Amino acid sequence: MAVLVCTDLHKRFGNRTAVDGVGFEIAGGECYGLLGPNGAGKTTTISMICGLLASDGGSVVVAGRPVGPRAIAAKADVGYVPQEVALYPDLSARENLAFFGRLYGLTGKELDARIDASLETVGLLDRGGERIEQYSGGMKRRANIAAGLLHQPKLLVLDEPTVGVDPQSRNAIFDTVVDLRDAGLAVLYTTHYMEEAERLCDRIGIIDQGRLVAEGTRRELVAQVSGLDHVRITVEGDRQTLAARCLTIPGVDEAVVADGFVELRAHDGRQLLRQVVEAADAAGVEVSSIELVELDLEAVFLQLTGRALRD
Amino acid sequence: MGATLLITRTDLRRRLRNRSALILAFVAPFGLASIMGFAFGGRRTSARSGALISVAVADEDQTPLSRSLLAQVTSPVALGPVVSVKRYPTMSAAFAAVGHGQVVAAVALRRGFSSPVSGGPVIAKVPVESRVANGSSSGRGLTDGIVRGILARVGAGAVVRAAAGGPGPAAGQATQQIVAAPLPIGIRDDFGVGSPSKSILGYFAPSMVIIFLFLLIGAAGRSVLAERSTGTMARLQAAPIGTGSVVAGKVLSILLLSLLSVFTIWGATTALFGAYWGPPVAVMILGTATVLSLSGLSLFVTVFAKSEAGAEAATVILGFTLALLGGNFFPPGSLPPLFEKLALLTPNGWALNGFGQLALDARGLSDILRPIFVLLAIGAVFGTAAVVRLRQAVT
Ligand SMILES: Nc1ncnc2c1ncn2[C@@H]1O[C@H](COP(=O)(O)OP(=O)(O)OP(=O)(O)O)[C@@H](O)[C@H]1O
Ligand SMILES: [Mg+2]
Repeated sequence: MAVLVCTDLHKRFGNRTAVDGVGFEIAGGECYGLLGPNGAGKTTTISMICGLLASDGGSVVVAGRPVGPRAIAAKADVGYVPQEVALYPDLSARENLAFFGRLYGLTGKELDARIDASLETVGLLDRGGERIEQYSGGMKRRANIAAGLLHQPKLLVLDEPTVGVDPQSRNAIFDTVVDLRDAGLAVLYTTHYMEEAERLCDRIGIIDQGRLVAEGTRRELVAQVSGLDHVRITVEGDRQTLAARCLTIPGVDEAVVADGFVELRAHDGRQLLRQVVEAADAAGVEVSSIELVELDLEAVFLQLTGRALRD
Repeated sequence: MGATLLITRTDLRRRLRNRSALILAFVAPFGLASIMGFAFGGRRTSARSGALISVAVADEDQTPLSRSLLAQVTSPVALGPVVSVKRYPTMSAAFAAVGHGQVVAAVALRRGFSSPVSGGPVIAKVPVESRVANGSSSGRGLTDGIVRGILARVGAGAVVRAAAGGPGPAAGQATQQIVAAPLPIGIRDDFGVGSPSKSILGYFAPSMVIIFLFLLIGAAGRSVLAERSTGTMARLQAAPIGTGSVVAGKVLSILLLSLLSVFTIWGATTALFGAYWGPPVAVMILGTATVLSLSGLSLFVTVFAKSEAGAEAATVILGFTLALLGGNFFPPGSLPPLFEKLALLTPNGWALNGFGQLALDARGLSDILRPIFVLLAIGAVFGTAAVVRLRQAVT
């Protein structure tokens, strides 16, 4: 059953439309990725879903209850992890968690237990007494997530939680998100790193200029845009000649010469391999590998919007 | 309510861990108040001539009655601790001292002053004369006080004389005693003032607190606005509590920190230096009104500024302009008349007016209702606008 249902969300700031008809659903135990470049409208969408911002149109329902700036009770089902490290640097992680936990009505032993559990989840149990300002960047990010988990929400919303994080902390954050999802949480994860969306998310919505331009599993998204396979031939020798020969193979539309390899755009790349080897022999070059390159979300985004995901 | 107090408590705890807040709230006002208090107070205790303002008196009558009457109305108790009294043998010498700027005012009793007072014939047509330095409002006030003191005693004497059945030697003697005695009629002899230096400190301490209060509140207000970009404000709003609770919690913590600043300095200067700020209830009410008005104005400036840097600049500039205009940097009674009027255009000027009356003039709560009312009005107007704006700003 869907934990989050948002429908046709709209938001304007002055005469700039930040979100323009975004709608999607997330089930319990599912991680949904909102992937889009800077300024696409990810944070604005999330702000409406968490009830921080009144929408100009559309609706948000979490666990059967409508959410909005004035729908206070329903906010208890949402765990929000802001894009910034939204903790008081002059308080310890435990003090921060105790404060935010109390805002959700947690007290006494239950609060202590929840603080321990959240710190444990993000791997900070033994460092909880230190002030946030003394944490490394990665630890701050993890503590930021802990504060969103404290009250055991049904929906966890993470706004670009890995920005500026070292690879080790990033992996720790990924593991945490996967564990939470496996524990049954509905997770909404925004990012402009397509690797993250590919690795973590069960379904992905691609957002650009306030619109959801495509949605589905990674495979579905790729299928949506790709007619052509990409075949990469890594070779020593005259790549220009090889490219010219390959273009004569039926089904090859395009041959791109790059540093160290030639890449073919072709219908049904799997059927080409024998002919490519023959072409290489004829061109007199030595092939070290031939691979079928899978299309990534970067390419999907490029094809859907005509622009690169990263500027 | 629970959420409001939770936010208040957490913010207060954070501020009390913040070095610059501690300096603005406690260290700086206490340090400056001590320095200024010692500077002025030390001078004051060593000799009366070191007082901040001087007034001349001349007794040409030279009778026991005139002497004891003058001693009564010009005692430190009657005039307050900042005034020193210079005695001159003649009226013209006393008036000349005014002309030379040595004193702000002079009061003289002419020969024959006491004759009708004790039931004798009228000898001098104008038995009391005074002169005030050009434009000196403190001089005018002092003269007024002294002359009223004289009149009150003479009036009391007349009552006694009438009660004793008209003129006569017995009535005359009773009148003499009454006139020369410290009377509780029309004058205030019931002060709890300690030494003059302690009252001076009781004036300068709140004066210094006020200067830093404005900066303290501005900094606290900016830190609330900064929570919008650090994300904690978003986190507060994602929590199942109303925006009203968030704003109320934030504002309450600023007010409490300010009150803590005022009353800690009050306690510290009283306990450590024996400073006298005034009657406790009056100090508490005036202190609270002062905090409310300064908070209202400082938050107003902060939340209506375009940027955080703009807010900081506006707070500092306005803070020091108000401090200058309001007279925080000057000893009481030393402002030119124009500036005494300008001071009452500022909340801190009104606050100092109130604190000055309590500490230096030994007044009580009923005498400072006007400053309290003005402060509360300023606080209400600017505070309401600031809170409304703050509420918009955080959503
Ligand atoms: N409070 C605001 N006032 C005016 N414009 C805003 C406001 N918040 C967002 N916008 C605009 O709305 C658009 C979407 O912004 P949003 O923050 O949602 O993007 P984003 O996808 O989260 O980007 P990023 O990856 O940089 O965080 C942007 O053009 C932004 O300038
Ligand atoms: Mg964003």
